Amino acid sequence: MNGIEKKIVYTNASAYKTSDADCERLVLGAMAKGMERIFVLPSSLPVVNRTRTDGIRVAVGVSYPSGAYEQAVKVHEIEDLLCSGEAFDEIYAVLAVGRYLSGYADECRAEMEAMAAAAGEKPVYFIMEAAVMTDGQKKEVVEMAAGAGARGIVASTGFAPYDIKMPGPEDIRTLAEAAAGKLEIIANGGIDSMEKIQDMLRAGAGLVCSADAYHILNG
Amino acid sequence: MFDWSKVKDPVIAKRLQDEGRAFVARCHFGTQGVAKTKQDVLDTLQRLLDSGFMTLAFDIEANYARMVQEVTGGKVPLHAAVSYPMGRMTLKQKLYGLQSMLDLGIGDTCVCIDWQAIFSGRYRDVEKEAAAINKEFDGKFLKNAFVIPATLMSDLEIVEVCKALDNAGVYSIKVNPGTKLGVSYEEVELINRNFPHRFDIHPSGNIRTLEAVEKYLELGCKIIHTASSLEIVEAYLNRQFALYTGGVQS
Repeated sequence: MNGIEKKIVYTNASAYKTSDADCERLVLGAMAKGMERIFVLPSSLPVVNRTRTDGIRVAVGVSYPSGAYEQAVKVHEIEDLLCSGEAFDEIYAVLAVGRYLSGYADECRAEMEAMAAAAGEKPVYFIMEAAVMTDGQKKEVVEMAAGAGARGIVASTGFAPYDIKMPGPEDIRTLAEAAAGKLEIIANGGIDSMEKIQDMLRAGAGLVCSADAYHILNG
Repeated sequence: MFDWSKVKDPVIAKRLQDEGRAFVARCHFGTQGVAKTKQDVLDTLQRLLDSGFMTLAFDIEANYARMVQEVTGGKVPLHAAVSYPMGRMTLKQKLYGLQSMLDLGIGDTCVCIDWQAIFSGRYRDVEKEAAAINKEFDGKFLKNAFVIPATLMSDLEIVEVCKALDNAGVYSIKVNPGTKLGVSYEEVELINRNFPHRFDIHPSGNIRTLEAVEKYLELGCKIIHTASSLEIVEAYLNRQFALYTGGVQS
């Protein structure tokens, strides 16, 4: 595998039909293939936590997939997760992408700062939709995220029913160049082959998120 | 948009307006999604206002509620969803989200039950979650529908989930969230057959024609979610106009 499995975030966050057994399979599949990170939604945490070992880092989604709630609601989601008693390692919070695209950059910046502050010591990654943003907008979001103290950026929700364009290597390259090593860039959305994983890593992604990771690694 | 200029008879015009108003008042219409911009929302709102009719609610993402209220002076009833579309937030997050809807003046909402509990057969958890939401918010919204992904469920799962919602005291069920999951007549018939006169069923997704809306109305549904509301009411008015005039100018 050449360590590529360590660069993958295995996820079921965007799957409509997810059961407890699917969550167990996610964790066990990650462990079986040497993947060290998974991304799930809040109600999956109890099953994930009783299945995983210490070697698996868990990212949990906030306001996934729309991100279109008021700032106070998103902050509350984070506070609730922190008080829930369920263990997790990182937060992937969906930005109010539509509002940002409408020109409310200051609101978006304030939202990032509030969510990062609410998360405290937990690393926060902000989910954007890179493929619908100009290069200038991508760079601005990266700068805002870095200023807010984020650990990284996830390039897309990867939620196919929205019919939104998924990011390509060129989007990842722009994000990685803007981040200049200050933020980790996670490619996400429509990554269903080893070739796409490698393309994203070559473009500068630090990690690649995929719902198909187990099958990809299985060959 | 219906061509009102072809209606010469004021009696027929009045009748069509009344019928159109009543028809559209059963429909939800709007625009939602992660990348919907202010302009997307305003354009969709303008289409609705230009129609001369008002849907039961204008469906938006919650973070555009203040803007729409400012633009319309609060005269357009709003709908926004909580934990949409998969319901995989925690109960506390859903309760907070619902309260925020009330605080924003959103009178019509829907909340997704935890689909992971549904697909795991944890119907007691479905019941507990729905009951907790109902206890807190029953009667506080004009409508608060509970969303189930019927299209992805077996008949048995649909019945078991409806039993859980019945036990929880739920009234309104939204059958499918849209977002690529469309309702079928069979799903509505199944719920009606097993729970006669029990639920207020809101079909959603893949409803694009007058015939489909009328079929759901025949099945007893009173509220329809369709992004094609304005095209459908136009088809309805054209048909009614033809009915009253034989298709010629009156």
